[in-house]
Amino acid sequence: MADDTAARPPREALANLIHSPNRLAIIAVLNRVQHVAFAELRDSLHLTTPELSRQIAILEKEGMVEVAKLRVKRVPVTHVRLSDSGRERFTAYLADLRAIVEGGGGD
Amino acid sequence: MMHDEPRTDPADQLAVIDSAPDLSRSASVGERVTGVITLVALYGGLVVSLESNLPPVAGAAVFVAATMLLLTWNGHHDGAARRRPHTKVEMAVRFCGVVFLCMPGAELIFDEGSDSLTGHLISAALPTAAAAVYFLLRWRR
Repeated sequence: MADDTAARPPREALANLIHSPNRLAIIAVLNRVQHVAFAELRDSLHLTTPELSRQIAILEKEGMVEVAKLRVKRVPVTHVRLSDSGRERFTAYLADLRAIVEGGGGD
Repeated sequence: MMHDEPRTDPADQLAVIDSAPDLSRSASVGERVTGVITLVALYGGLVVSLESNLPPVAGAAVFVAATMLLLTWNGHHDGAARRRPHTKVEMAVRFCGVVFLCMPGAELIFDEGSDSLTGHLISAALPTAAAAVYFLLRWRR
């Protein structure tokens, strides 16, 4: 799926990328914060660690999210954030989505 | 675990987005108190330094300390987990806070500007007010 999206225009690629409800939910959560710990994201979405890792890897490959290891009280903690371009793309996509739904254009 | 079947319907997608949990959290009481103490220290330190006619080296040290104080707070707000993203207004206000420090800074280092107490109070108030507005904006939910 990630390979399919790479050759498409950004907006279309994003639409294709987030047809997965899990990825859409991940992006929606990340859109409301600067960054969040992997474990908190996993628990809030009720996903397993392997599943969230898989989805994050797909989003990271598409440049939607960035992953960083931070040290919190000497303990390494993985944090995830929307990339700047990912936030812009998602904001534009969300505006389009709302326009379609509020305009009654949804199929 | 959520079902991960593809959703292409805009209304379905919007429902997923709107029902996603909000993990953002606001600043703690301790952070707010520290922020207020910082503002008082910044304003008081600048006014006292301006009134003391410090030598240029000491004035430069005060200017650097004040700049580092604001930059440290900016870094804290950038690095804090689960905070909502910065708005354009917040970014502009915090930039103004650092830029406004140049007014007391020029006076501290080059002895330029007003020599009156009123001038010093205003000069110190500008960066402090910008920092206060930035803090208040960031502390909103």
